[in-house]
Amino acid sequence: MTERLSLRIDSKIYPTVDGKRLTALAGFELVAEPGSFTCLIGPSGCGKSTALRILMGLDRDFAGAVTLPVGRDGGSARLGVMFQEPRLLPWRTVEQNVRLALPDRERDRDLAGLFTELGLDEMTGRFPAELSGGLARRAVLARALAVEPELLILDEPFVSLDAMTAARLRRLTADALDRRRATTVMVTHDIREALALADRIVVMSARPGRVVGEMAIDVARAARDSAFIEAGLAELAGRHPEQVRG
Amino acid sequence: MAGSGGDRSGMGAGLSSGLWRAVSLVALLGLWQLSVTLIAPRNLPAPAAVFGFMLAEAASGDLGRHLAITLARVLAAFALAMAVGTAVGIAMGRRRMINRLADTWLILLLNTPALVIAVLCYVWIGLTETAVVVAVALNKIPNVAVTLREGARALDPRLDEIGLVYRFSWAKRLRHIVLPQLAPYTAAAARSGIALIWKVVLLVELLGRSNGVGFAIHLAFQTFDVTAILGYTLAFAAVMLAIEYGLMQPAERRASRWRPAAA
Repeated sequence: MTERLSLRIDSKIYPTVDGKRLTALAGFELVAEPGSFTCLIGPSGCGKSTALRILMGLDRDFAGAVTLPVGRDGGSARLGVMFQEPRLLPWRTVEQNVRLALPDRERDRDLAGLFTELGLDEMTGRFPAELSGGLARRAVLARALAVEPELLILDEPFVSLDAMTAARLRRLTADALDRRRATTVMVTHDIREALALADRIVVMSARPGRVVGEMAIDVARAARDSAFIEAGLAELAGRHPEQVRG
Repeated sequence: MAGSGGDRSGMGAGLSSGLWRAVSLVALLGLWQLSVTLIAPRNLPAPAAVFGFMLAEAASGDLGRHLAITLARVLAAFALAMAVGTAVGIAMGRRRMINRLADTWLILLLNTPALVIAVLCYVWIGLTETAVVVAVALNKIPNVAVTLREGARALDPRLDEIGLVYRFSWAKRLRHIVLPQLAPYTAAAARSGIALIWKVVLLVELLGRSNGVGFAIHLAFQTFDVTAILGYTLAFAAVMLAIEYGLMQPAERRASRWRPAAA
């Protein structure tokens, strides 16, 4: 099982402005099977996003170890990411933004199918400033999926969208993931969102963050109706009253 | 600067701003002619005399020759100063260590008179074109570096991370993430750059070259030929105006076409 993702953070310490040291994460450990969808939830400030940044290789100043799934060419896993903000290059069109994420030798690959799948056919020539929030997230999702990632990292990808747009994007993302086999790790504040998308929910403690519990979900995403989600929420709130409010 | 107001305006505003420029130019000529007629100063030729001189010089081929060689020097020094200044500025803006090391040199160079740099370059490199280009570029590099350093400090780390996550090569990062963010700073440096550079080129030509506008003005100065001095100055100023309106401003508009207000 060499392609299993493992993230171990013995400690991650931030220096604060007044010279003190703030421990964001301590004794945090996460293992994810290939193709699984793990969702991290926990009180704000518990280090969820920090854990993702370490996983992405954007923060190397920590004690611990990261093992990423093995990539198709034997190297480390290809990453696809969605941050809280779209982070598209404003001076490049939607299509250029997506193509730039591809390795150079795949630059001219046919992406028409992907753009159609995400409803971006008409948008490929637009600049990010011309897109609504929802369309911008779709372009970001297209960028993340275009690289055919082995590891997909979603850091609260649907925040600051109105409820309807967020729901539509959630559905679009779920459908797209059903057709692919990427190991996915998502952070969210929205426990209903976690219950709708993930096949495993990992609950974190308040700072310094560590894993305090987890819940597996083995119902197919399409079969999770609102009753199922409310039941899951009640169960989580019962098990972790401090972290989860029903 | 002259063009910044025009960047965000539509066709109508562009037309009327062009009109205003023409009006101000005609007013300047009128004022010039008026002072010649009314005051009749000894060393101020009438506009007609200057334009007549320019036509005669153009017909003989001298004007074109001097203009061309000066323009070539301006462009070479400009390209060198922009390239080196941008690289230095980015390095200083991104790395605190480099900034600490290079900051004093930069201030020193900023405060060294153009004349000193020109003379030293001629002495050390020789009376060559290389010396001209290096001397002029050295005068401009610190300005470019200081401007671009500000830009590099304002780079968005969140976009950098996109480049890291998707494993951009450094060339790709530079071209698609860094340079587009620096475009307003590059434009500012280029604007003030081209103006400074042609002034310094003339000085350097006067000191050690036997062609170019600076040399022509040097000759005219020896005979106190104000007509020739004004003629050459106006001719080259016209070339610089053409570069500003014909190259710099369209390039800037193209670079900012992704901005919502310009679309």
